[in-house]
Amino acid sequence: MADATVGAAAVPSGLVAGEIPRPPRTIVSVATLPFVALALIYLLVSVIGGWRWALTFAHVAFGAAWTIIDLFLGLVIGPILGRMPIRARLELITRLMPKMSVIMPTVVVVTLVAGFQLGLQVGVLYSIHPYHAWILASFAVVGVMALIALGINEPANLAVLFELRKPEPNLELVGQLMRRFIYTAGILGIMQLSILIIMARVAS
Amino acid sequence: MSQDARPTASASAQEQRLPPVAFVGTLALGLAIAGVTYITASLPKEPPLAPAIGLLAAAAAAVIANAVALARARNFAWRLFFIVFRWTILAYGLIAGLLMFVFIYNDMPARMLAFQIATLAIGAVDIPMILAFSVAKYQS
Repeated sequence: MADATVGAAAVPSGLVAGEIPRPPRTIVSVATLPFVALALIYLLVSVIGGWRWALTFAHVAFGAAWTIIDLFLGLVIGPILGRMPIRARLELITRLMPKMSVIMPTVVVVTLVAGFQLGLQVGVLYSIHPYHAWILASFAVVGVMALIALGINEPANLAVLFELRKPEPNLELVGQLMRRFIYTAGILGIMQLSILIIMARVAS
Repeated sequence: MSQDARPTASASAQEQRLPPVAFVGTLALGLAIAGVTYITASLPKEPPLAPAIGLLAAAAAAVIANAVALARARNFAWRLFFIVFRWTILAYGLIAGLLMFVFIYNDMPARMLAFQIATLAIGAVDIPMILAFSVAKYQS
């Protein structure tokens, strides 16, 4: 009883500690790991086989997933999340973020490795190729995106999940970290638009 | 250590008590990415490696400085740091291994390959350190 009272006092927004949605004990979604293994095996087989169609599929499909997830999360889910009641927001975060922490690194790695291999096969990675400057521009954009994603976005995501595992999470801190996550997701979404332009230019 | 002692502490207030590991780590990552971009921009030729090695050395120095600064931190949640670090280094080590395989598979010239492997090794330590620190600093 005493614990419940302390929990209620520590948690703002009318939520008592017992009512706060919690992320899974494992933090990452274990159910998504077979998808990761399949994706990486497919990637390795495609690289070793040297099949251009398989590499193109991996680069286009996973690249599209990366772009769409960033755009959707940053420009659609983000603003909606900001207007949701705190409990609904936490329900969404605790279900969505564990999956995102597995899906995004996988999608990014498959896209980049397949793209690198494809670039070598097609020749756009070589400095003599007429579209080489566009590829370098994409490197610069992806580099900045990697810094935002790994330096701000993903740390905020993980910190929120671990904070919500505490018996009495600091929801003010969770709110600040979520804002950080949503803003950076929006920036990543906007930067993805420039990747779309570059890739459309290279492919046409 | 108690949560009750600072139930309304803001993210920035908690960050100020510890060294700027996430910022320095991100800076190191930026230097490493810049080096890789420089090398890749000259493919299939091998450019002068001195600028890339300079960037890589700066990135390595930043990662080491980060580790030293963090080792001196007081009241830090080391147990949680190492739990997160262990799992993330496994994940990013796997990713780095996959990339190394691709570079080796493509017969990358030896000096460029050595540079890329060194960069991947730095990233495989730097990224888990950023992530583990970012979690543990709010538990300290």
